[in-house]
Amino acid sequence: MQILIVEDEDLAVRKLQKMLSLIEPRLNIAGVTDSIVSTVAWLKSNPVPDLIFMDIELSDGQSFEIFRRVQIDSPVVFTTSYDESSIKAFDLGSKHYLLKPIQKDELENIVRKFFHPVSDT
Amino acid sequence: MQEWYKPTRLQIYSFVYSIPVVAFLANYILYGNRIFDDINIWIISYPLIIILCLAFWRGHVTIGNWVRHRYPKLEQTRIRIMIMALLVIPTMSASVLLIFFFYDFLHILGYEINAQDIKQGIFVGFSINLVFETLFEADYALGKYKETVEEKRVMQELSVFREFDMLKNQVNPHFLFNCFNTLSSLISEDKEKAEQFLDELSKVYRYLLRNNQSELSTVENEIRFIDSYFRLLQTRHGDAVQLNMEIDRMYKPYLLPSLSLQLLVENAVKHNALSKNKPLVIDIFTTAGNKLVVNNNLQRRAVKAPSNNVGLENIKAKYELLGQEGFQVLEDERNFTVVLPLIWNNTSDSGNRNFQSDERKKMIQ
Repeated sequence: MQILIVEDEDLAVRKLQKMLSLIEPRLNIAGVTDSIVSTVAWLKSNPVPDLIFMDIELSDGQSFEIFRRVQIDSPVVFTTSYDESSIKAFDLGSKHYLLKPIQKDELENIVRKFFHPVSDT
Repeated sequence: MQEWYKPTRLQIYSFVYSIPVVAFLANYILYGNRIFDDINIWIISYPLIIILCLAFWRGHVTIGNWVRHRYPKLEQTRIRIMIMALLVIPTMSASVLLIFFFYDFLHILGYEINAQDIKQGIFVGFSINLVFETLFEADYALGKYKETVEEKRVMQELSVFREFDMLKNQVNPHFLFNCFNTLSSLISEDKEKAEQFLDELSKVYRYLLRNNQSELSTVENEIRFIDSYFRLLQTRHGDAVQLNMEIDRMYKPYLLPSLSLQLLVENAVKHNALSKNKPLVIDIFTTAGNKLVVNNNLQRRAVKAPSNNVGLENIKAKYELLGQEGFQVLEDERNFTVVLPLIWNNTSDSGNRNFQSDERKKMIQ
């Protein structure tokens, strides 16, 4: 299962990577991007990931902008430090979100929901 | 506040200064040219008219003031004047008629009523009322207008402070949770760094909470605070954000609006793209002429961060409230600069609560 992490703080990226590998070693972090521009570029030049973890406040703006610039077919889990209201206001098909600091059981629930071992092969 | 049924100072003066002329006119209508050679008119009728007019004046004032009391608002001026006219014209006419009938009934100095006198009397009464009621209404409206302006000013002042509080409440939790998040990552990675981070975080929070109350802080305290605040930012963003400070010692006891440096640094981080290749560089320095300058290189984000400019507006409003000139926001292609005028601290206790006493001694030397 291929995962994209969109997050502009190195510390947060490493933490999420570590938690994910503890929950499910078969997950593969296909990419890590830290801005709107780099995420759009990554999505255009890589196969569609199975799951995207996306921070809302990126170094060059809010990640909602990514949706305006590129078609995203993967399920997206927003990660945010404080205010989930902005996610609710932004009308997307999926409204999964995790509040940071991310709780292990909440992350596990999300991963279990989207993890399909079949697509791993 | 004056009771509504009492005459105002203007109404009293209007009566006192106009009554000699009004009484003369009334007597002239009653007795015509006799007024110039019959001394009895001056001894009996003149004072009598004054007494009658005093009673009518008191009645009119009460009616007028009741209408103003009933329809007090500036927007109700039209209805107020209409009702005033409806009430005042009949009472005035009745008062005039009453005088003539009274004189006729008692045959005072041989007076006999006639239509010509009544017409003249009502005309004079109407003119006098028109002049004075207009004057009272203008006086009332002007007073009301001043009141409204003053109320508006107070409301504006309040809203500035309320906005500022709102801003602090908005910003702080967000920032706090970001910090928790960083801390949560740091703990497993670098325990020592996590401990330092927590120390700085508690310093920053203590300062934020304390300065919620005070309007002004010393440069010294703001700088110390921004130093801690910046360390938090740097832990989160690494080398993507840099801060250079050059503060002349002599300016350390000067005052500026509390938390304004933090607001400006936060704005810089919020509105600019941060990356290790193109770091955001913030310079904070003092210049001659009691100024503190906060400058950052502009690297606009691809998408503008949502902003209502409330932060900058707030600092500006605070300086305006203090009556302090010199707050400036300068912007060109490369830089964003804010100039904060520093205020001489003449009540050395208010802003220096956090000072240690030995630091005070150092300052004096």
